[in-house]
Amino acid sequence: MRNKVTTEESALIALKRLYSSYGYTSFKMSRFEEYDLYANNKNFLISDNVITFTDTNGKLMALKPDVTLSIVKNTSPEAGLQKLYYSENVYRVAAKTHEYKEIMQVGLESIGKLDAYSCAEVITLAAKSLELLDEDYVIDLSHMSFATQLLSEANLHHSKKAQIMEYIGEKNTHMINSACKENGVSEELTEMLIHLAAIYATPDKAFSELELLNINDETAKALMELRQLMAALSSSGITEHIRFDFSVISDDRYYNGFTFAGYIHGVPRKVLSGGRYDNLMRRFKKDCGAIGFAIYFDALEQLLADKEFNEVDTLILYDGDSNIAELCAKVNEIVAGGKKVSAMRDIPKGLKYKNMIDLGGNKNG
Amino acid sequence: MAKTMINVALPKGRLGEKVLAIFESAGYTCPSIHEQNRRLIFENEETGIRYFWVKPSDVAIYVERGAADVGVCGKDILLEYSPEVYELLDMGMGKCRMAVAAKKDFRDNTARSLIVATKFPNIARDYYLKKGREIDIIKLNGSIEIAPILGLSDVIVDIVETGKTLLENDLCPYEDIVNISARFIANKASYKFKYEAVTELVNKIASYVENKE
Repeated sequence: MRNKVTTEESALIALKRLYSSYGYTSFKMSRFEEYDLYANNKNFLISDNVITFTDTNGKLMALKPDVTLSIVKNTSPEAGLQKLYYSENVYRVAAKTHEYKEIMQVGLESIGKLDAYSCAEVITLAAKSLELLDEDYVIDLSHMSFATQLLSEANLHHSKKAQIMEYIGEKNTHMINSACKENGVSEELTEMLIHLAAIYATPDKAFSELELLNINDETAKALMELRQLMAALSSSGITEHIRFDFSVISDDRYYNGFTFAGYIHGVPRKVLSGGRYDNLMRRFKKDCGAIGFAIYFDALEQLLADKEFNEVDTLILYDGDSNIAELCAKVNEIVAGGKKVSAMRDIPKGLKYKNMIDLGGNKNG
Repeated sequence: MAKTMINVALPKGRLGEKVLAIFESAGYTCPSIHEQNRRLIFENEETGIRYFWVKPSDVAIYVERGAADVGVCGKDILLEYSPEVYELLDMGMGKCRMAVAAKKDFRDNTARSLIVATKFPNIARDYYLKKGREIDIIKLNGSIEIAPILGLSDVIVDIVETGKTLLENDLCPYEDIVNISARFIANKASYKFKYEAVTELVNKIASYVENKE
């Protein structure tokens, strides 16, 4: 299967075009934010190491580790539904190497009075974004209510709850089992939590399993929202790429409702992450809903860059005795034909090319 | 259609040999792996499996980065490195525990920070953070038991299997931190794009492990 876009630049252009065609407007922001914004919402950030510096007025500033918080801060619920997209660099510490990294992030947010359509639209755009990058993609879709309701039924201390949430995220059924036993969670509820973590199925198959986990009004509402969403998406051609996976969960202090993650064949980790975060809005004293996603270009870098680096259509070899005018004419001719060409004196190691023209003057070619 | 190949990272050593025996008993045989040679990668297209031996502490990295679709490694490695992987199965083997050990006459002097020698700095830090105890970590790469004897540290945080090594060095287990056993892990993307093959493998191994218990 051939990729539709092959470079980071063309991916960016294609994504921006996609978002603006759905009426999303670009949101440009400064590279810096006041550090307080992040200090107050540390748990929302993927890594809590923020690069800080003091500006000329003595104020503590930070290089943006995240875009969503800046957008949330700058939107007002009175403005009606706002549909925004962004492409920005963010600065984070890599968990393993403890080095700062500059990461390109593209994403969009829909903020305001949300309804079933606006959620369906954002999830459609998440799927279409992945499709632009590669046709072989998967969106894992989840709804936070199932995990949060089952756990609140279990009546656990916050730290235990967070621990079990983590196990659900790892699909770690044996640890859910032992943690529940340790904390006196009923067998029935334990079974349900294990069942929830293990679900990985197409929507139509998953619905019947979800019925078994429908324990109260909140989960009934979640089930209805999922059915409504799948009905809305039925004409979009993306449903065959959707899997229900309730291990896609985020911190429930910020997220509620739908959460989702995107994967592309050939990339070993998540490339897209999104969800509904009304709870975060509430922390900012803004009474409205919000849903959005981000695409991590650091995860895509290898996929895109290797294609660019390793492939040309035609390789032209020349040497000191070659006719330069002939060489120039040949290169321009191939480029004009819409093909990729590389003129070199020697064959670059590992380069893949479909055909080769040898313009070497002295050689027998 | 050719069978989907599953890449399996096996931990070199005794545990890995046992794991391989289980995989083979579950039907994922690979004759070439039993030949005496220095190769590191072995595959059997018929059963759709490709095994490779890596250092036990590296298994999680191979799986997280997708070089291996699945792997088996100790819970100690998962706790220490917290890789982004699915932990699908407790293999119920390689059982031991992570523990704090000290000299037999050790008494914790809470007036100063506790000096801890360990191969697992993250597990140690996490454990003492939860207790609210100030510590000083010395990261060592082996022969941890020697540290308290020579006065390098007050205690050690290490894996205890039978306690025999500790005993022979006049040390004793002081507190247990967590139980350890071998876990079956899977790369998150492989789980999606090779779903049938990966779940079939997990289910076969799971039923084999259950029957054995």
